[in-house]
Amino acid sequence: MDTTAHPLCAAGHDELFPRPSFLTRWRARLSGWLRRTDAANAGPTGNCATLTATRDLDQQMVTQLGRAVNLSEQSGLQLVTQVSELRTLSSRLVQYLEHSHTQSEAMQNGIEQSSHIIHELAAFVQTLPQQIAQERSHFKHLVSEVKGLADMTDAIRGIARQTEILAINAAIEAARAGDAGRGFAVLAGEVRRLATQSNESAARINHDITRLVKTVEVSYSGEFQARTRHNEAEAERLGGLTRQLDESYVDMRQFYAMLMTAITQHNTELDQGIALLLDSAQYQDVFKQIVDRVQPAIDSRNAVLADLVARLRGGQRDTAEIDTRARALVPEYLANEALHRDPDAATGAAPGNPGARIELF
Amino acid sequence: MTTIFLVDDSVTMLMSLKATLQIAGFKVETAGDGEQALVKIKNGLKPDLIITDINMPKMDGLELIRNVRKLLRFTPILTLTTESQQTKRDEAKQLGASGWMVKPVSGADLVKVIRQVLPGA
Repeated sequence: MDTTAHPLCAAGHDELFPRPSFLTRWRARLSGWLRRTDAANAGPTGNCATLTATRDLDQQMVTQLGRAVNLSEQSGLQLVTQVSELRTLSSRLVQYLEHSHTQSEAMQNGIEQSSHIIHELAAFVQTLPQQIAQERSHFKHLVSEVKGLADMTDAIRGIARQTEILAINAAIEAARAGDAGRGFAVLAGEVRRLATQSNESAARINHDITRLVKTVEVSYSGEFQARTRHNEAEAERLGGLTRQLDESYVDMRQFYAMLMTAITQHNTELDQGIALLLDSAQYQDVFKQIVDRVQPAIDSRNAVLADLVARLRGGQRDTAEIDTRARALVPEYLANEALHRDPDAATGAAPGNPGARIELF
Repeated sequence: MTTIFLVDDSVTMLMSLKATLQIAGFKVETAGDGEQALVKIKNGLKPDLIITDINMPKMDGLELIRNVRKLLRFTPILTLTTESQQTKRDEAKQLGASGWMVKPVSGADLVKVIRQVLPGA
């Protein structure tokens, strides 16, 4: 039998099967098998067996394609579910971050305030040694002034003594004057008594001042001076510590700000990755629909084969009409595919104008 | 909160788009075909925007648009389909659709389109 006369051969085996790449291997295998079978089974009966087997194989292939679509759908769903869960976790992280950011701002404000306070404290502590030295100088001056008061009481006592002598002399002169000087003698006695009292008061004041100065001088001894020098040194040390604390606060604030920036950036990238994964999941549906469109093409081809088988079994050799139908299968399939052409596909890859991917009316 | 009503027979599409739109801050309702979508609308669902597939079992997207327009005259409807042919685009436009999108559409582009159709959403 001349196989080129067979309608299948006339249409060309390769043209009878859809073009998607996942069918390529199957198409090549089937074409070879068909040629070998035709050669072994010369005559209409043999051709019928071949065509029936081809149709059965198609059915198996369609079943397997359906299974592949289901598997891809299941894995697509798993992917979307997992990505959604990831997104939920990511969302929670964002919430934590926002919360942390708010707290961070409050903390940074607190740190800034503390830093300001510490800065002021450091400045104050730095002036302490100088202040202590000034206080010590003022104290010395005060002691000197108090000692000056003691000198003044000495002068008062001198004046009192002179007044007393003067009063004694006046009393003597009053006695000499007899009755005429009696009143003056009483006055001289009063002056003497006042002078004595002044002298005693000045002596008491002098005594008190001397005791006070001694007390102050004892207090302002080597121990006191050593203590103030120690305080000065402590004040200087405290100044250094507060400066260190201030610097640590500044470092901590910078580190925290840097950490927040890094985490936020990481989360933004994670979000973008999730968005891309979700976008990619749409291809499962595109794939499913491409496979779904293979089924009607195979159904049409099977109908042609069924008619051919019927004619061959009926002993009819004229298959010109079936030839025409077979030749139309591929153009019909491609025309239908063109209606679903991806707008991003290269121009001229398939007939038809796909239009824009997004068109608002 | 703006409600988007997604209608598609592909569960993968529904779930991935739902996640994308929820991330963008929208409330999302879904239906697996035109008939189910119409029942939800008849039961009182009033979305701010409908995004529908075209090729679906029971009731296709174009038929859904035709029926929705009788119930919700001004709700914008976008199509999201693998179909790219002009005749169907024209038909959808005539039926009152607001736009036509060919799958796949990135989440970022989809959100941009939604915000164009629903300013302030």
